[in-house]
Amino acid sequence: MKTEPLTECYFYLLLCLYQAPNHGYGIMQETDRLSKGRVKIGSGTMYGAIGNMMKKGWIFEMQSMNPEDYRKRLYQITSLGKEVLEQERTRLKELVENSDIIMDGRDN
Amino acid sequence: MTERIKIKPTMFLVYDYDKEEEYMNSMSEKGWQLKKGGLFHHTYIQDNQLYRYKLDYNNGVHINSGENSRYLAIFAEQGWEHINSTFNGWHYFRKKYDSALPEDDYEIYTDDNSLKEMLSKWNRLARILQFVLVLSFFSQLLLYYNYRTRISLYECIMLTVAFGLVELCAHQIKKKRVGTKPSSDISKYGGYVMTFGLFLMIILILLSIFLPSYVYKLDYTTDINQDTPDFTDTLNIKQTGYYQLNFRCKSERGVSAFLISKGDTVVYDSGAGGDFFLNKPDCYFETGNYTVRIVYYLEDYEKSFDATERELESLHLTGDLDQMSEVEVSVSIRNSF
Repeated sequence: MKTEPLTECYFYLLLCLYQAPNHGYGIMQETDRLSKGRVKIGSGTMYGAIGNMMKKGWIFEMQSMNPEDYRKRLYQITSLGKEVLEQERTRLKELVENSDIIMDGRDN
Repeated sequence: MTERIKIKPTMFLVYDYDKEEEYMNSMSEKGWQLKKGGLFHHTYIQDNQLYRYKLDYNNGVHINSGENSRYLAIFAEQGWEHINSTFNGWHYFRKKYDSALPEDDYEIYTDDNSLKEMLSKWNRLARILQFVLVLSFFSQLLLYYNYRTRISLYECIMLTVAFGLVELCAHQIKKKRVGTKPSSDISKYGGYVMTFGLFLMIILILLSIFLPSYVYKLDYTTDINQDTPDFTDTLNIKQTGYYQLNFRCKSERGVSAFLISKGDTVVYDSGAGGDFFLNKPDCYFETGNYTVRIVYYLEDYEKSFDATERELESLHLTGDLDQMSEVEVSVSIRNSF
């Protein structure tokens, strides 16, 4: 399976769901925290990304078991979604390794 | 206390949605908050709470569907209050303004990819619209080749203008990027172009409805035979133009009918026969008198060709040739604007 590089939004969205299901606002805040405020995910971008990923089968929607936020929509990553994230990590590693070799003169 | 309400007419082309947002923000600063947005007017109520307004295009959600509540929930999570939606898929949102928050918090699209995705939804619709416009143009051509109908100039102009307007919008839409200010020269005049186009269309539609229509209807029932072989009547056309000609003749035997203009040009010739019927759209008539002439032709036919009974029989014109022939002719002419 060959996929296109993920956008930062897609990457962080999958990353934020990797450990546990989360809702839209949680993803947004976590992304903000992880990127130290560099990457923001606006509502329109979030809606589009979640819709596309559900279509592709990378994530799915589930209902919260917590009675307090029962009505909140939670999103959970699928094994396919994890696979895509893993591939992206490999791709990013390759980029970093190669730039290390060329720019710092490092050699394996 | 009664709420103070203001209704503002608005005219923003689709690619000016960001200008519309700016407009709503400036209204908010003046103490007017949007209550209902729409294609042609906005309704504002007086309220000093400052808001930031955003427009989103999403034609894939239907009111009361699960998708709609998911859509609105994602916006609500980040403090976007849904105001209303238009029938064609635009959604109005607002968020309380807090000057302590960074400007980024008032963006709904934070990368170019997602903005383009949103706008391409609109562009897809534009392509469908253009396809329909081209199709209706070809249907005109087809009608012309099959039935020789007049190609209406104003309809062609309307189709071209509409096609061009959609193309202009699609072109402008493609240039949108996240975080750029709405400022293109064309968009300055876009609203005026649209208003003018709509105005022109309304005028043309009114013209086509209220332009005086002329109908000429003639009905004859006449007896013609060898002794009175000719029948003529005058048809007076009051207005030059294109008319629909309806020529119908019912007779027992050989009759020809002609429609002749003042310059003795034959507009219509039924040929030899008994019953005939013609319905022809888009016939050009000039102001003046036309002559309707009905001729009993069997006598001439006999003389010139010396036809035998048998030959006449082969033409299905049997019987006593001296016998009277009752002819019913109706000519109706109607302008087909």
